[in-house]
Amino acid sequence: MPTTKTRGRAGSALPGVSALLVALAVPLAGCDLNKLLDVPDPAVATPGALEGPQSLPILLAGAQTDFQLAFSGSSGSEGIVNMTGLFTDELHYTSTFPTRVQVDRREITPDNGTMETIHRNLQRARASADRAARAYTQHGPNALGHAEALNLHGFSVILLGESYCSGVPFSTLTAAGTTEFGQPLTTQQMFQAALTSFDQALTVATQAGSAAAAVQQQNLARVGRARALLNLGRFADAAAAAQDVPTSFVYRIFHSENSARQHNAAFSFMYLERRWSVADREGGGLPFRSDNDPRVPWARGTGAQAVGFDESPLYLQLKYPNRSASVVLASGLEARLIQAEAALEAGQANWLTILNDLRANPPAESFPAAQYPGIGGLTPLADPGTQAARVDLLFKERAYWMYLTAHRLGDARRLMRQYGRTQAQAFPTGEWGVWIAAKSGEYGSDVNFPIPLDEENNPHFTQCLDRDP
Amino acid sequence: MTMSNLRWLLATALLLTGLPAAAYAQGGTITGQVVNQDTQAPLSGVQVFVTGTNRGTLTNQEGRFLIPNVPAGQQVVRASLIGFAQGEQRVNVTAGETATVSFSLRTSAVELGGVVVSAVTGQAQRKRELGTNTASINATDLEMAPITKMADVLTGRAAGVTLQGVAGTTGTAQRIRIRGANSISLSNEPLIYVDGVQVSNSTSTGSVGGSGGIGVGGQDVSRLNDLNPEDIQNIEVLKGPAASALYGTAAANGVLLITTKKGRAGTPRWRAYVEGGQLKDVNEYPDVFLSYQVNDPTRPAFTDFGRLNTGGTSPAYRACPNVDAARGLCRQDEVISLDAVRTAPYDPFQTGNRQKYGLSVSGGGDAVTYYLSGDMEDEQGVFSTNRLDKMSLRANMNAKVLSNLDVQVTSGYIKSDLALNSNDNSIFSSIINAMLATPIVPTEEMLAAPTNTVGNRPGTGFGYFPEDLEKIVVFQDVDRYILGSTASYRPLSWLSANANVGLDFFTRWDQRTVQPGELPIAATWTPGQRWAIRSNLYNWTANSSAVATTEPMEDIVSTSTLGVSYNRSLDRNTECFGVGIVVGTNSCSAASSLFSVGEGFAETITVGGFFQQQFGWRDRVFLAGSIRGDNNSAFGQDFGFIYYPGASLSWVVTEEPFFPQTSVLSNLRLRTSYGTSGQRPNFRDAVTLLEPVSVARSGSDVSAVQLSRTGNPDLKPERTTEYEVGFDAGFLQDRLSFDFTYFNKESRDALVARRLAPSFGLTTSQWQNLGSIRNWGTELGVNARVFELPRAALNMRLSASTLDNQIEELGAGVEPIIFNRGNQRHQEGFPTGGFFGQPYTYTDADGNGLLSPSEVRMDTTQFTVIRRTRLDGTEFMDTIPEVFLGRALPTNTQSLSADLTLFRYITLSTLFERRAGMYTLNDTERFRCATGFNRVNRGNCPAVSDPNASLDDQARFIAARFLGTTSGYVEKADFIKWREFSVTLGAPEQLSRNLRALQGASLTLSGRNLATWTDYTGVDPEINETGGSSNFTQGEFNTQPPVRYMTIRLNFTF
Repeated sequence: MPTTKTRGRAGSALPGVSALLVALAVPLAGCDLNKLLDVPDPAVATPGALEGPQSLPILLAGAQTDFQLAFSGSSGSEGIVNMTGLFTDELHYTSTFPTRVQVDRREITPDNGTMETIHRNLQRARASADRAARAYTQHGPNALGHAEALNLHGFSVILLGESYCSGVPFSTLTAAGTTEFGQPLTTQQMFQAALTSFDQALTVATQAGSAAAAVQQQNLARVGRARALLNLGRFADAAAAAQDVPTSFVYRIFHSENSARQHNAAFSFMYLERRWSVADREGGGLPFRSDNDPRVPWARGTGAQAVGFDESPLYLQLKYPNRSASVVLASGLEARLIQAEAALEAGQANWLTILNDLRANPPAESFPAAQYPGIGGLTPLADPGTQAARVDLLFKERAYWMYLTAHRLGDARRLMRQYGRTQAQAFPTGEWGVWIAAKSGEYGSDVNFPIPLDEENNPHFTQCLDRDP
Repeated sequence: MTMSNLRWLLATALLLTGLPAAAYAQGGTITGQVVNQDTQAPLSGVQVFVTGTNRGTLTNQEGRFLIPNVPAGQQVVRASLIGFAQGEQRVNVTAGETATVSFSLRTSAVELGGVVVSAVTGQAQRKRELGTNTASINATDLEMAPITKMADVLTGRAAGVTLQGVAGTTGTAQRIRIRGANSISLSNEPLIYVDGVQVSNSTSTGSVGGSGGIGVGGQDVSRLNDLNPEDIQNIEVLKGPAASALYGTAAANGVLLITTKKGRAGTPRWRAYVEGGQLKDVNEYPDVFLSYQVNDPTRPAFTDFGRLNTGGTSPAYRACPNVDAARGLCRQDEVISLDAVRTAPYDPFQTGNRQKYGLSVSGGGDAVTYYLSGDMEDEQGVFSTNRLDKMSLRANMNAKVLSNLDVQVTSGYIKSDLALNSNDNSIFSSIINAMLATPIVPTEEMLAAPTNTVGNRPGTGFGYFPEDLEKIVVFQDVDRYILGSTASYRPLSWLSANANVGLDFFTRWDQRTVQPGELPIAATWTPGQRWAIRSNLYNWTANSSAVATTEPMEDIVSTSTLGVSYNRSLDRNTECFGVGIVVGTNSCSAASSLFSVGEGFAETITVGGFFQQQFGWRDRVFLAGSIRGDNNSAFGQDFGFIYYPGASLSWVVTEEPFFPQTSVLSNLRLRTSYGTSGQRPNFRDAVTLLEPVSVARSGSDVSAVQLSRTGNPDLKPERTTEYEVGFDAGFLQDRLSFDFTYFNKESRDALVARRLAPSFGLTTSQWQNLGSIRNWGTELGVNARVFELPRAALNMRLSASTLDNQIEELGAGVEPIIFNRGNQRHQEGFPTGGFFGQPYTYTDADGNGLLSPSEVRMDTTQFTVIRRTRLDGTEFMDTIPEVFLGRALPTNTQSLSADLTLFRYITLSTLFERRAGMYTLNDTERFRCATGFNRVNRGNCPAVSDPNASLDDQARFIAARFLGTTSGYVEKADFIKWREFSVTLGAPEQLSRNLRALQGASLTLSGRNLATWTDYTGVDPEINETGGSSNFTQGEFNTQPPVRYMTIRLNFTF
């Protein structure tokens, strides 16, 4: 064997290790590890960067963009306008995705992925508006933006109440970052919560003065209040809330060609995706096409839009003819319709007068003649004579005036809840898919949307408290 | 560990130690030659080293070596080369003098002589020192193989390494899985180093991080295939944490150590080749069918759109699918079919072609060696719009700057221009337009009809003939530089320092332009449109280490390594899109509508330190332990360093005196190893972020923010711990070798996207360290020199592996993660990405050979009992109606390769591969049947429209369409593939003697993707519609299967 050669420190268990440490100590001792790992991220902002009064406009804009996404969608996802239209008799489905077919057939499962996005977007709109409103409370309680944030919060809650089953929770991420799981709210509680928001908004907007912007927010709060009260069945209060809103008032959710996120989903999913079509007497519903009412303009698609994805005929709505078409969230027209309904419910004769006034003088702010040819030619309505027929007429007027504005589902539910109509009288019923031979089946029995399965991560939640209208 | 702690530690070490005052005594020199014992031919590239020191070198082209500064005294010198048994000599070295020692190495099928160079420490370790089974792929394995891209190099050549060639489109990516899959959320791709430089293997056609980009329906592009196989000297595969613990927070999925060719001292050696060949799609595609009832034969059966004429109040024809015929709702008066994919005008395929040319030179002197190469590659795919043009340049240099300082500089440049067509889930796919076609050839009248426009082509699935789709092509141009430099300094005979720095940089330009009027299908297409993404990706690597090699006592060699490691990856991109461009231009600048721009950014940094201690006893027992600590910018702010320990033991038993020396068992090594490594979260996973967006307000757009991520400040890396045990054995004088390994690894703290309750109004999920996944299996390698006769020699290699895989834990309250259209899920207690579905039964009660919907029923007698955990941690048993159908990953694989040499000049090589135990989703057929049923022709697959379709086929369609379960389309995907075959004719020596400059020449005829044997009913069991970047999604959806390559190649050396 070779003689033993000892190198390094004789007798050391790990000879040379100390020298290795020395070799590395010099270059490392000068390093600042935290600095080495500090990665700037110029493309995004963190929540901490949005504190103080200067952040209020950006938080409000965030609430607006979240509301737009939830309400009238984008090129990437439908909004509640699309889905309530599909669920009711406003639209039928001309594609094959099972999750949307479930909506059109009124048999939605809680694990429906498309509907999960719809619900999340609506909850995000609510939370985002709430976050903005809380920031205003802290840094600018009297600013007009505060009123707008509260209004958007109120409308988010109304849309949740009108669209979903009883039992939607509102959870909170506190400013400290802790989570507070919400308790399920009944449908009535949701409308009450919306009412509270609108009350606060009206107070702030009234205190802000009488400038046009302030009046705009006041009227938005009034229409919101009236809609919440109508849902609560407080017709007289609803009429009182609506009475000061001028018919010319309109508050729109705007879209833009600027980015896919800002596109109008009612346009995109119909014109470009060819997945939706204007319905006509769907499941015994209203004749949106065959009535040829100027308030619901439509056209048979041609060329690339001739048929839907399922090769059935495609009928295009003309209300939102491009990606940047805005959608009316609230209007003086709706205020008049609420007053008309309250009058009808109270047995007052002026209900028909209100409706015919609207027909005679359609508000140009909502229905410009250039886009709605024939809008000036609406003839006066005659009293059908019975209360039930009057209700039908009123709700038909609401459906045509407010086609594809996320009112139809709330109305169908109210018809059942407040007027005792059957499901078959309020929702599409019977054979589904009659627009193409390849589709078949029966409509289901849902009268509202279920809450997505993911909510079961909330320990207070199990599922809908009930599926009643 | 805080920064102050680190400084304190280092400063203390500095004070308590001091540079040893060991004198650098003058030594002697050892020189000599290494030859092949059988042929006496010199062997180059042999590692010759003096044990117990850091003195060593590689032999030159003449097999000669020279080791200066060897300490005086008796020394043990060893020579080691893969494919040969190790040689050992003792020599007396006298100061100032030269001692000579020579080696004659015996060939061996036992791979103990190979060397693995660590990309982190820079140390070269012989395989006998390692406690792990490290697979090697060498240049000699590839010389005759039909290699078209880097992925081919890895396919079927290493046990436990599975390459899934997910599509046959030229330039598209593959999936690499080594010993299964560790993560359900993060990448399962291995870490890749080229000459010590960590390189990107991102799979994406688009922007950073593998997301976004210009999609082509499913496939994406792999950066691995940028590398030029011609430049590869060898690839070492570290298969898991047991081998890769020192690589830290990125190495949980294994490491590929790619070493490019280097020069050897000697006269310049030139090598040139020219290669050409053809690509053909030879796959069998299913026919399209249509059955219908004729009500009025006087009217045309088909409309101008090529659809059955079913319109009007009294339709002349009625589509009569089997399910309607079964119920007596209609008559199947006519049943027509067509092989549409192979019929004009639907047939999209052409014969592709391929050319490649290369030239390299290597050589140098004792001080400097070099390797220079250049290659040009041009592949035209089987689609007219699919093409790859690539150029590769490489310059490597090794220099002995001082007698104790070696420097290596490696540099590679790749220019790649790729054109990609759409396939898979895209209406712009020629395949989907043919697979959903009406089974008719469009008539002259249909073609002349005014309705015959782009987007409305008669008979096609979605309105497009192949020539229409030539207008919509995605281009990806890449310029890539891989630069590295390594220095090895040996200030003392026992102390060396290694350092390497490197940069992998590529700039990528993805673009798609549709010229005005070329695709007049909608307002967003007719005026033309432009989409472009420019990305720059940087990946910096720096490692530094010091190695002390000593003999603290007799027969024991101690090797201590201490070092630091740094890695930074940075992606930046900008993107533009716009509609309405100027004819002939390719610029967003002129866009008249829908103009948008975007910027992307991602950066991660890893800083680590490591220490490794190895003891070797008499060069036959090796015990090592190591620890690495890492911190990473992607960890949560409340998480600090993470530590990865490792240990290994290797024992060459047959070299023990007590072991009986027999001719039967000539070599036996036992080994075991243990290690932990990690996988970092992705960029931004740990932080709550607000993403800038814009919102329209009353006619103008303003800036806003949107919550884009709900962060987790406690986020930490996934941590995978593995142990393996095994042996290497040589029989019959090492003519036959076996290596066997059992491994078992578990990933803890696996990232799971916990779904957040929607009522918070936050994002959909938050990353949390919740899961645990286990992979275990075996690997077997058999290498046999079956016979070596003067006129014939046969070598055979068998690689086999088994794999089992299970999700141990998914986290309390976490629902199963369901994907791939509901067919796959990550379910606790089952394999990752397992296929689940609701079972059904059927009975042809009336015996008419046609099933009606009522004859197919859900099978509610079968269900699955699962364990679930509530949010509060309590467990309960639950049942789900779905049953486990099968795994996504193969449970056993085998590959068999053989080289038969005849008359010294003729070599036949082949490679077969078998995979079994995995399932796949035949979504092509599901879509043709179940979704196609919703269209006018009512589906065009056999199950719907061919009355001779099997009952099984009819039943799965009915189950999918009427019962909502697609489990019938989840199919067993076992296959055997004949991957490679080649015949090489070497030039006779006489030719070389006559042409003095010519040292060698050969002609190789080869084929790739030659045959597939499978029971799978789809087009190919291996393809995947979601490309190489998808972690577990497995299934075909109008995906292009691999094509057959037939090539001819001429090689010259001079």
